[in-house]
Amino acid sequence: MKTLWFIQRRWSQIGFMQTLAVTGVGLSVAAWLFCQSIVAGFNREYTRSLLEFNADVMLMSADEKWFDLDSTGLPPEVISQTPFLYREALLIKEGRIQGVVLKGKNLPGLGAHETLLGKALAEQLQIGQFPAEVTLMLPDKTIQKLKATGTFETGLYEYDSQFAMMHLASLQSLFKEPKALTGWELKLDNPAHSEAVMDGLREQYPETIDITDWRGLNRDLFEALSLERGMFRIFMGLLVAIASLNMIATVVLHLFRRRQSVAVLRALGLPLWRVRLLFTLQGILLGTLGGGAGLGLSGIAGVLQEKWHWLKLDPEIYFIDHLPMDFSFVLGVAAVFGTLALCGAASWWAAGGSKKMSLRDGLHGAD
Amino acid sequence: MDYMAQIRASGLRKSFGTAGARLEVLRGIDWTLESGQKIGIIGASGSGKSTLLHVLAGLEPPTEGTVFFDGEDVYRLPEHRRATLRNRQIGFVFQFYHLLPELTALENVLLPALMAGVSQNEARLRAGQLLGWMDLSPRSAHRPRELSGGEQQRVAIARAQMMKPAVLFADEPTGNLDSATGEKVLDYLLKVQQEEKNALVLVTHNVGLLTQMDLHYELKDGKLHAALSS
Repeated sequence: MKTLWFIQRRWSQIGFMQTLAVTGVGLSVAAWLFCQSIVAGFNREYTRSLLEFNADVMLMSADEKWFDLDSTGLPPEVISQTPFLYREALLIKEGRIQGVVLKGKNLPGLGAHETLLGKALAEQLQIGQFPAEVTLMLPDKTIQKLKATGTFETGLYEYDSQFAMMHLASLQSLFKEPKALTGWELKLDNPAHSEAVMDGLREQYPETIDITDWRGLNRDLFEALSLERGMFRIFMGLLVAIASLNMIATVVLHLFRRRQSVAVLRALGLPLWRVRLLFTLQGILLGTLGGGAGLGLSGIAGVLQEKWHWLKLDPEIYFIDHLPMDFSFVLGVAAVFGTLALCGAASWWAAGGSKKMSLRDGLHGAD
Repeated sequence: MDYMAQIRASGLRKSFGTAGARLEVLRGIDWTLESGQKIGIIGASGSGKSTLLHVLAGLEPPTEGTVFFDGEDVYRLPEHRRATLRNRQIGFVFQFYHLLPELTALENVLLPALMAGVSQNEARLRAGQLLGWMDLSPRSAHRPRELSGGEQQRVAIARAQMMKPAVLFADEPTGNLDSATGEKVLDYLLKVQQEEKNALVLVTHNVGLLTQMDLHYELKDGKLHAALSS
């Protein structure tokens, strides 16, 4: 092996073809990691926002009638629980009308007939100053005045543009349903434990109580993200594979250029498999350079994007206002190793051409 | 001198091309090389001297026939063992030197030892000694392009002797040099061959070089003809 390194070190000048191959691998690895970081970023942002607005686990009553929660029988992972109620209405402000979901829960600091509006909802209603008086039209056409005391922002446009928060008792009173309850929200010490907690709760509560967690509530979103991640992995992975196959052309060209040296090395006693390994080493070295460059490029881009948010998004479409990136160094290193394996395999295959090279032709003629 | 057969070739045939346009270069050669022997082979340009050398040295299989080296059928050996045989037992000196241009003179010389797994320190010591014999010590850090033709060929001779091979094959070693330089290079070749006691097979078209060989052959019409012996 040390002979191969010895020769490779002296052959390792980077020419035009090598630069092209390294650039191709670098860009494709960067693109792959970039896409993975974006999907992971969306996943992270959605999860954070969803968990901020929703509970980790919810118990919902099918008939929306009040039921008590036995706090002593709750699993130890539950750190808090609160009842909540959802109701729909129209919110009106100076001729502008928006459909809203009113969420009632125990909110310390909010008085009767007071509400907090989602930030985007307040913008749609063009409310710039708080407190502000807003009008609520209930499904039975009754009109109520509410005082909007401020806004909340989850980071998810869907919530920020459609929801208004109230105290639970106020909402029940507004709708004249003092015993109405959508369900109970539970916060856990770790949202990842939600499955186990749900299993425990299902044994305690009748089937009329629907138990779901933050994943189940947003199943479509997470399934879409998972599908997107899988597709990115495959299609961008194909890009990396194609770039790695470029290594074949580079190695074949290198082999052709070095055919005389190869013939001499073989004449001096280097077996064919080591000649092959010598050229495979070149592919691996170029793959390392390209993969490393791709890792660096995507890492720097990820860090800059997270810090400066220089790529903006339309929140009405994407729910958040910037392209989120969650760069994983571990995934990056795995991608580099995968690229090395591809480059190595492509080079090994290409270097198999050394078998067909005639020693006679290689040794014939001057340097 | 107590000789024993180092290389035994029998029924060697070598042809090139397709059935329609077949060129038969070697047409049945039976030949033996004893250890320590110096053999010269002459022949006109294109007579197949280099082909014969390549076949005898395990570089190119014959179309027919066998080559035994130390009793082993060279072309029945697996490729990696044939490579080991070339590395340990055979040294080559080519007409066009064939030094690796990126390596210094010293690195070119120690290359066969590195292939054999010899430590770099040990290999450098031996390579330095050989370059010393070739009066090239001051040039050991120079790359081939910085050396004259004669110096390059002396580096190639040192490289061929690196592993103390049993047989040294020299293919027109002076063919690319002027006569004075050629004579000097031959002197170095023979000096180090005497020192290492290898068998030598020298292929040339220059009859003058054969005077210092034990046996002479002429390759003509694809066959080896015994010529003069000294």
